[in-house]
Amino acid sequence: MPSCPWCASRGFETVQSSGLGAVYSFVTVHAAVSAAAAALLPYTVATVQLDDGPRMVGRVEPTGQARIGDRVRPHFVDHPDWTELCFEVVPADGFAGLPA
Amino acid sequence: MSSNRARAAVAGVGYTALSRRSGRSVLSLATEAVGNALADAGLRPGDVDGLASFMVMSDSVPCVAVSSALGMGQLRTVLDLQLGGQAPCHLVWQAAQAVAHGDANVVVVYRALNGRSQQRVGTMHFAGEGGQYRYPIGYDAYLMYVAMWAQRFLYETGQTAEDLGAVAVGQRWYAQRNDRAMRREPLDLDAYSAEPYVVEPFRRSDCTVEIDGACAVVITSLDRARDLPQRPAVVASGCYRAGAHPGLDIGDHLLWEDYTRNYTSWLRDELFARAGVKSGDVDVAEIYDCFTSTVLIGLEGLGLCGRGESGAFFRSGAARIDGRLPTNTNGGLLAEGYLHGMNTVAEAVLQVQGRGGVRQAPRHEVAVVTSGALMDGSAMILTADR
Repeated sequence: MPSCPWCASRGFETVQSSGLGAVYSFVTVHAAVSAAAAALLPYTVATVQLDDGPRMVGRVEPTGQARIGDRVRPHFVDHPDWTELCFEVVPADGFAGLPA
Repeated sequence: MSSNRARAAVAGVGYTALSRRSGRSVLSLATEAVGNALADAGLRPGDVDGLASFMVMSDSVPCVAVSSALGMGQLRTVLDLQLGGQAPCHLVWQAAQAVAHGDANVVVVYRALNGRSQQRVGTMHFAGEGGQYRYPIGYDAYLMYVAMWAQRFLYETGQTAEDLGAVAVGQRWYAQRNDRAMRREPLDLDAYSAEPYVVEPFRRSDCTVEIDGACAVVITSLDRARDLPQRPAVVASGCYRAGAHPGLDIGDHLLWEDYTRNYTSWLRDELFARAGVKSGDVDVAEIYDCFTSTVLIGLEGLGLCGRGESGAFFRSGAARIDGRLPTNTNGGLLAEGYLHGMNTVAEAVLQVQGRGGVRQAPRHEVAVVTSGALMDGSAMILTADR
């Protein structure tokens, strides 16, 4: 975006986001379009309402776990040339377990 | 009400065969559909002085090509829009305005594409900066975006996947009575529920079928239409609307606030007021249905059903030919095929003209048609000549 969609300002500053948010909606893909995505089937993509304001789309791991309203936190997945921002569902008690 | 001279009507419709592989050029399809529509209206290519069409990522041919191929004379007005299913009602309304203002006497609106055998909109990547956030993560097909809205819509309105299924089942009944329809095998809710998901919550029968083909309609003044072979379908009103923050392309919904309401919610009041009719006056509804959910959102957006009541509307039989409001009487894009809503408009014309055959709605004085699924789109009201 070359300008702010709410005030048309062209001024920008970079802010750090917690990446925490909630699932606004989601889909689970069972038939992929691209070859790269086919390797992931089935996979879930959510529209996440970030606590900091904007919405993002991202894959939610594990597949099929997300429900509307679920709290999610960022989860980075490394690919050969890029890093993907995914999300994972935060259990209701707020404890998501220790990394394996 | 303006004078008849200033009012416009649809005087004819034309189709090509619909198929999975036409084996022909898009220009060939376009000229055949336009020619058929003119013949239906009792007019000739030399009568045409306006053309309008639309294409997605250059999947069709421009108006001047059709004019050239059919040996038309001078074109006095033209519209080639880079839009998808949002366009048909908008273009018919623009054509009607051109006729009403004297900018043209006869305008043909068409859509032509090899949408199955060549460029397929369902899986194409749209140009622009929006795709960089979607395509790398496998969020890369139009049905995924509509499914994303559908999931939220069902959740917020307290409806379920069975309500989507009721749309597919209801429309298939009409498709079985439509020789043009691509999907004519019977469908009940059990068969629907047994289909595997494509993109959850959508199963196969929630999705349109991509096809090759073309469709066209002819618009002229009401006065002139009265002297032509078909009964005029009066263009009573039309509206285009893009809600605020419609995104960077037709698949970019990240700035759209509410996935449970599309453009129909925002154009409804203007559409009905301009035509001088109320939602309760509508006899036939042809609601854009690239996917089942857009029928439910459209019916609720137009106020033809209450919030959260559109699924029950289908399940109760209200959308059937003997119901309160026959809806998507050609089987819709779901079953007739994906001509991006040009065929949705043509079906509304046939219904208003009383040419629906075995699927003719018993009352057909007022029809509402919509074009488009998500952030932007258009709609139109057609009436009998009264």
